[in-house]
Amino acid sequence: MRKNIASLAALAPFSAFAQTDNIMYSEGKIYVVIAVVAIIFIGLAVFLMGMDKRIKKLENEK
Amino acid sequence: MLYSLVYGLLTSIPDLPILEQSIRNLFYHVSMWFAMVAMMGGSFGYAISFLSKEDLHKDHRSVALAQTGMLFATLGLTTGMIWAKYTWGAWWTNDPKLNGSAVTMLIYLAYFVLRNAMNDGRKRARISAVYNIFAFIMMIVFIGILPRMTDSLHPGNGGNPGFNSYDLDNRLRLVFYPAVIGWILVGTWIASLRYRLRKLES
Repeated sequence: MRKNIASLAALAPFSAFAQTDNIMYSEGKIYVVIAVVAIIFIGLAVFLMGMDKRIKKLENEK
Repeated sequence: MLYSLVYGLLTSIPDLPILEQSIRNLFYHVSMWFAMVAMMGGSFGYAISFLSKEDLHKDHRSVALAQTGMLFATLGLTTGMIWAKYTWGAWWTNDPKLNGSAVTMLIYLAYFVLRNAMNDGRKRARISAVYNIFAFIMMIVFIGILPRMTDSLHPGNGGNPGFNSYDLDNRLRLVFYPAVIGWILVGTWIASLRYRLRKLES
């Protein structure tokens, strides 16, 4: 019982985060970095897909 | 580029409160804005060179660079919002740099709207080149000068300590500068692809 309370107390600082966004605040916020890198990649991919479309149009005109 | 992407995740970082591991975003979020300013600078240069030489190819280059700059601005803004949410606690704050970059993006958006509103190639190129010069100067004012005159949550502005004092130590610098150079090179490459595409279309 005592051990349980001790371990609960150790978790207390995280309990506020546990309810919301627990992943983003965990592991020293490394997931924020991952989200940022993912956004950059998605943005670049969407931009390139737009160019792909325009090139396809040119190809069809030939 | 590859080096900066990989070492951005692997390199050892200074121990910072609140930011913790997310200081690594320096390599991704901040280099987006550096690349954006470089692209807009190039676009500005070609706008001036179009006005002096009246060569439509310069206009194509100017537009291609502005579009690529817009891509970097969009990426910089969205990544910044994510980073802000988990450091400052809100997606958007009334930080002068945030509002300044939003206004800058609107100004450049108006540049594209202006271009689409005109059909005559030469006239369009001339008017939009003049507007481009205005837009670039406004960008310098909004993201370079105004945030430095007031307090900002961003480092280096107002009462906030600058980059070099505590958060850009040598380990970070070793990755950050190659990242900036790499993204500028990638941006130049994308812009030249868009320029060639434009040339083929016209």
